[in-house]
Amino acid sequence: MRRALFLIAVCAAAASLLLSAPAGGIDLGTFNKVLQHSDAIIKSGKALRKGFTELTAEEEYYIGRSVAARLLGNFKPSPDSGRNTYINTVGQLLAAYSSRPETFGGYHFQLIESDEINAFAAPGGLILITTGLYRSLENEEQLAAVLAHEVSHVVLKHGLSAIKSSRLTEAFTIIGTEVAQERSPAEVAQLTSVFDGTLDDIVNKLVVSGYSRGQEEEADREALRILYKAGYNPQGLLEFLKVLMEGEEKGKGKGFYSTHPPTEKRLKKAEGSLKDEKLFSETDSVRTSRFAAHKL
Amino acid sequence: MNWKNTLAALVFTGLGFAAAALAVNTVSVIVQKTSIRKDSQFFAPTVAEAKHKDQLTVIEEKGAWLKVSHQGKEGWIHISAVSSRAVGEKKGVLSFGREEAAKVSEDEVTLAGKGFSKQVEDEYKKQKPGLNFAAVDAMERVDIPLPDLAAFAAAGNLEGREEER
Repeated sequence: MRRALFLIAVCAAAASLLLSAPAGGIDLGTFNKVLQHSDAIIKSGKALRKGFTELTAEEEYYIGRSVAARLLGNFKPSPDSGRNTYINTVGQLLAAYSSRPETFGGYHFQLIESDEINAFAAPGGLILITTGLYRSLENEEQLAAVLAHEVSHVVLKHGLSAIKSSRLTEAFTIIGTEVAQERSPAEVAQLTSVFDGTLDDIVNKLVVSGYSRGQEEEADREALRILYKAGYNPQGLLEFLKVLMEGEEKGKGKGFYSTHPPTEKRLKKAEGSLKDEKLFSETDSVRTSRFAAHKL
Repeated sequence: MNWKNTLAALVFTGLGFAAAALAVNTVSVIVQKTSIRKDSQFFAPTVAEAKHKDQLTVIEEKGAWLKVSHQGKEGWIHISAVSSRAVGEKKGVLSFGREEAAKVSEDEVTLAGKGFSKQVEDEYKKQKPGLNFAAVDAMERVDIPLPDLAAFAAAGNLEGREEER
């Protein structure tokens, strides 16, 4: 596309110069001016990027890798390869039915050792589930519901939305719009510093402040659709929210409960969405039995 | 005809080629690797593989799927795997509105590796030794093959409901 743009710009510039050229045609010196003029046309057309939605899939991937690396520096990954394979199978199946089945590096899931009931969705698709949360699940529909909900946070770029706009402006200014040249060491240092700040913003959202209620409800709605399309019973999400509500009384202020809005309202919204969109499906006992084999 | 006029003629021919180039829709692969499939379904057989920055020619659109041509093979790819400047748009090349400029930027940034990239990650790793990238790399290696996902779905009586999204 850029090549086509360049050709058009060259021709537009050539046409304008030819019209003003003396009789007998153009010479090489003028042709050189044509090339410089057309490059200027393209340069003036480029705007700096502005919002988090303009981060590329590859940038999202590298941000997500470092967010996950930070979290995995604090939470021990569970060595349980059997259950990890199981959650990856359910999770990658669900991601295929989302509205963004492909991210730069794909969706990958990992159990992490913690008694707290919590899950973290790093941008790009690296999703961590605590053993505390896994233990609270009663069947495969509920596991699918949790994974679909986390996949939805990635699909909807809720993690990326945490990046402060001033941080993004700084990053986009350093990155610029020019192509081809290597970055200077000073630029790399600056960009890495902004990168660090970007990670701070996202990790703070995931671990401390949590998503907004609107984002949680949005993720619930998307999760219900994913579950339905994949063939799961979306009631699994409602069941899981009820399990959380029971835990809320016991574990107020800790882990999940400090980073998630009151579950009762979420549950009511989710029930409404399920009915409005007619996402009715059955739970098959085959799946419940298969979950039982992987129960913690 | 002198050579200067020949040069002018070539420039105008270039205009013709440029116009032709614009009529062909190409998209750029924005993910690390992806499959081009026989049908517009996630579990359809793979006809070809494509990788980051590959340029694909768009033949047809169907909902969230594109029929593309790549290295002599034709098949379907999900829209989330390719750049957004694609499909069905016939924007005038001289429209330098912000939206068009932003789309041009994604491809250029990607092509030049200029954004948050491996280079930034490598530099970051040097500065922060407490991060667990080994665990991240291990996570990324777990990729359940598509036939296994399909078999898992079948064994669990999960009948997918594919629809336009």
